[in-house]
Amino acid sequence: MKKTYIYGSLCGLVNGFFGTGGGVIAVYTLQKSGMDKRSCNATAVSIILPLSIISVIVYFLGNKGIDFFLLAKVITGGVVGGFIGGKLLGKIKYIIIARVYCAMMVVAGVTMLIRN
Amino acid sequence: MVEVLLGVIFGILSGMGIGGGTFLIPALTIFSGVSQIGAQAVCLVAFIPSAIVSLIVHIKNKRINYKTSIRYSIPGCIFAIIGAVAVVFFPVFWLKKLFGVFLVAFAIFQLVWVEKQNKKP
Repeated sequence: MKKTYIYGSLCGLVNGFFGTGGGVIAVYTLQKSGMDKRSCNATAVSIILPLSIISVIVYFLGNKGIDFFLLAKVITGGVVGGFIGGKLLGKIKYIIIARVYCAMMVVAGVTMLIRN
Repeated sequence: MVEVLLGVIFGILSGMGIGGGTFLIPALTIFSGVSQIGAQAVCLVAFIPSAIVSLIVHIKNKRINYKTSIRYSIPGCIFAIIGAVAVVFFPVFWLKKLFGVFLVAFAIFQLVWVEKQNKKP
C-alpha cells in the first residue's frame, strides 16, 4: 500500500474526527518525503480543503446545523488576524511562538482532560 | 465579542503557520461555552475561505504537487467521512477527553518537530 494513501487516510480521519490537525500531518509527511517547504504547505492546503468541506457537510447533516452567527464572528476575527499574522511572520522568532503555543496547548489539553 | 477576539488570535496563528485549530477549538469551548462539535465545525468552516485564497496564490505560483495531492485526497476524503460520522455519534464526554489527549500529543509532537528543525543548519 503506497505510503501516500496511508498518510492521506490519516489526515482525513484526524481532520474529520477532531476538526483540525490534518494539515500538520500532511505537511509533516510531505516534508519527510523530501518535498521542499513551500510546496509542502501549498500541497497540504490543496489536500485539506476538500477533506474539510466533506467533514463540514457530514457535521451539518449529523448535527442539524452550524451556528452561523458564531461562525460570522470567528471568521471576521480570523480575516483580521490572518492579516496581522501575515505581517508578524518573520518579525517574531518562530521557535519562541512555537514554544509558547505548544505550552498553551498542553495546558489546554490537560484542562480538557481534568474538567467536567 | 469574545468570539471575534478568538477569531483574531486564530487568524494570527494560522497566518504564521503555527496552528490555529488546536487553539480555536479549546478556546471556544473553554471561554465561550460552545459545544465540542460546534467548535470543531466552526474550525473546519473557518479554514475554507482562507484556504481558497491561499490556493489561488499557490496555483499561480505553481507550488502544488497535484499527483501527491490526489493520492492524499482521495483516501483522505473517504476517511474524512468516516471520522466525521464517528464523531457525530461519539459520546460528548469522551470526545472531550479524547480531544484533550489529542491536544497534548499534538503539542508535544509539534514542539519536538519545530525544535529539531530549529537545530538544523
